[in-house]
Amino acid sequence: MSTLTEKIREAAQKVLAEGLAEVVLGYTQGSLPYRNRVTAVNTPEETSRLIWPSFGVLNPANVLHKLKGKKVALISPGCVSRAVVVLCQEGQVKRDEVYLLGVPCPGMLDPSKVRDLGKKILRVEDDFKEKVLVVTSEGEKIVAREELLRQNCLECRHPTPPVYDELLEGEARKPSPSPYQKVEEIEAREVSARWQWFQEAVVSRCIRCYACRNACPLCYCPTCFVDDSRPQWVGKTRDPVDTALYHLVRAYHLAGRCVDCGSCEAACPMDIPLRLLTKKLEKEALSAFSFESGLDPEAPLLLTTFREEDPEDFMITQELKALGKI
Amino acid sequence: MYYILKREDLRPWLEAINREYTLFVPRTRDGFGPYEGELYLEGKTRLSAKEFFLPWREPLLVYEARPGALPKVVEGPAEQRVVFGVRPCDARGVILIEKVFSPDPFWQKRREATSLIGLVCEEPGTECFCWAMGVNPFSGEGLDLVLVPHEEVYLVKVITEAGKKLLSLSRAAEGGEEAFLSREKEFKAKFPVSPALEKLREKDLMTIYEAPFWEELALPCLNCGACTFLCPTCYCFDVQDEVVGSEGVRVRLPEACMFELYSRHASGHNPRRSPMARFRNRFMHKFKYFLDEYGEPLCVGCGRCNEECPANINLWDVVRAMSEV
Ligand code: SF4
Ligand code: SF4
Ligand code: SF4
Ligand code: SF4
Ligand code: SF4
Repeated sequence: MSTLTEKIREAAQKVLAEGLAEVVLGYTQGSLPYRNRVTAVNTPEETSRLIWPSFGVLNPANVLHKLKGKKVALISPGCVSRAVVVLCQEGQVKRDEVYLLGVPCPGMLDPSKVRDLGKKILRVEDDFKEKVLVVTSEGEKIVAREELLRQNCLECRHPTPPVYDELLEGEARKPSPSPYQKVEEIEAREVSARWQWFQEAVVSRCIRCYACRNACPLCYCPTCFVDDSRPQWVGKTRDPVDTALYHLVRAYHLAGRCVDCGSCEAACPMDIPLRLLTKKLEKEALSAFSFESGLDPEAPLLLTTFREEDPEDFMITQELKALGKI
Repeated sequence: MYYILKREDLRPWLEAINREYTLFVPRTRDGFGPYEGELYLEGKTRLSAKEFFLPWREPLLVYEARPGALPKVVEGPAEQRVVFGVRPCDARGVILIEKVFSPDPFWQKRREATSLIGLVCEEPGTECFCWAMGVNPFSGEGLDLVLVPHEEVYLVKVITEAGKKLLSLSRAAEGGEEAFLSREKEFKAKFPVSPALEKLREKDLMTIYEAPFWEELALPCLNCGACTFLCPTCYCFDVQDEVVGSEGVRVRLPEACMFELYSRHASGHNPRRSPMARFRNRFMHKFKYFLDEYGEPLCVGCGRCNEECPANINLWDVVRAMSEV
């Protein structure tokens, strides 16, 4: 049986040779054992550089805007396919301008979890099923894959792409039975403890580098609200009020849109668990509107549609009512 | 002058310094903070020591927000501070930034008020390459004292008078010169300067600027601020007016040439509109403009950018391409 990497190379070669796309966007080996790099491949010969990555944590759909005018094939696990679907729904990409080479996804590993396994990480061997061999300067470790997976992969509901032009053979992870466990852990706390979590885990450590925003395939505004200077909506230093505002607005701008690819969190140089904010909104969209983003390019968008049965309660009043407080 | 400090005498020394000065130490992998017992010495911190000199928010002026009111210059902080655990690459970063910032009164004030105690690394981290950029970690450049972990002790070299005074608060005893020098010699023999620097010096600027490789190398780059904000040598800043009610403060804060806003003119025109042009600027500044202007690259080889870049842009891919074009 051939590996996912071999299947990807073969499929990419075919796509380019048959003119189904001019460019294939995928991953190549990175400069560190726990990094992979988004790469555009233009010729059938170059496809031998492509791999199925253990650490394909940056969503390659965020590069699409740089390849405007070309037909692009994307190596697409569930979350990449879903991001492209949202881009189609929002009129950023035309469905026939992209070719989705679907991959049933075994999930990606978290570079930070691997990095923490030793002083120097020399090599990582992943069987994409159960085990990962990590060779460090202090010796070898065999670790269960589940322990090293990214949080969003552990919580992924669509490892198999819902939309594709071609689906490679392979075994995907099972959809997560408990996608909101981490969100619920924080929801269970008192209001003040939740605020404290937000301040300590997110706001105080954020350096406003905007890697999270720029890594997001769905953050494509030509001028982000934080970059507006006339008027200026938000201060630019690491003042907690301004930083908090950035995070809240960013998260809200992704409500009903975020596909939980985890690109933002993976991009953060400070390892801030900022994905939890968008995950919380994803949970709201699901519980209040039975809505999941990025499943159908023809479907209407959550925030631009109204159905009579839509609940009108705001999140907070709804919760208070449930608790019998109002 | 050389001294030997037992490892178990480190804590008492830090406590003693902390009684007389405000002491900052690497507290966690994130970065430095006031000494409260926590101490992270396993490797370099994510945020470099440059924040002691180019803080995240530096008030420059205060003013009353009404027509005709005159602004008042803010007195920079004068409190004497000691920073322990500064890696030699970070200290060298201060020296490089100083080439540009020496006339700045806020910089001067912070430099005068701050003593730096350096700590050489037990061994280079995965992404370290200070030597390749011409840094000698044992030199003590930019520092008041430099410590080398060696077997059961720290070998200490005194660089300045201020450093000597700080060391007098410890139980360090004179000696260790031979061991220190042999460690230095060993390091230099093992880790040479990169030959790429010489090539970059000789290369024509426009040849590098117009080379065809930029587009491909820049493709995955997010044009974020991670590499510049973590870099101990990046010194670009923005100036902002923060007005609340009738009180205004003009502040200086870090800015990154990777951002679109960095080079956008008031007219709306942006000479570096494309993401590739901004990517190119970062490397051209570090490895050509600064090199031509000051004779040294604007990089101390700490490897933070390589380690933390979300897109896995590797500095050496770019430097190699630049020096071989
Ligand atoms: S979020 Fe789902 S589809 Fe995306 S990489 Fe993880 S498991 Fe695969
Ligand atoms: S990537 Fe991390 S540090 Fe950078 S702005 Fe986002 S949360 Fe803040
Ligand atoms: S090189 Fe890396 S860290 Fe720097 S701007 Fe590009 S993506 Fe961000
Ligand atoms: S360019 Fe990279 S390696 Fe060089 S000093 Fe800056 S962060 Fe360190
Ligand atoms: S121009 Fe860019 S690379 Fe140079 S110091 Fe400024 S931010 Fe750093």
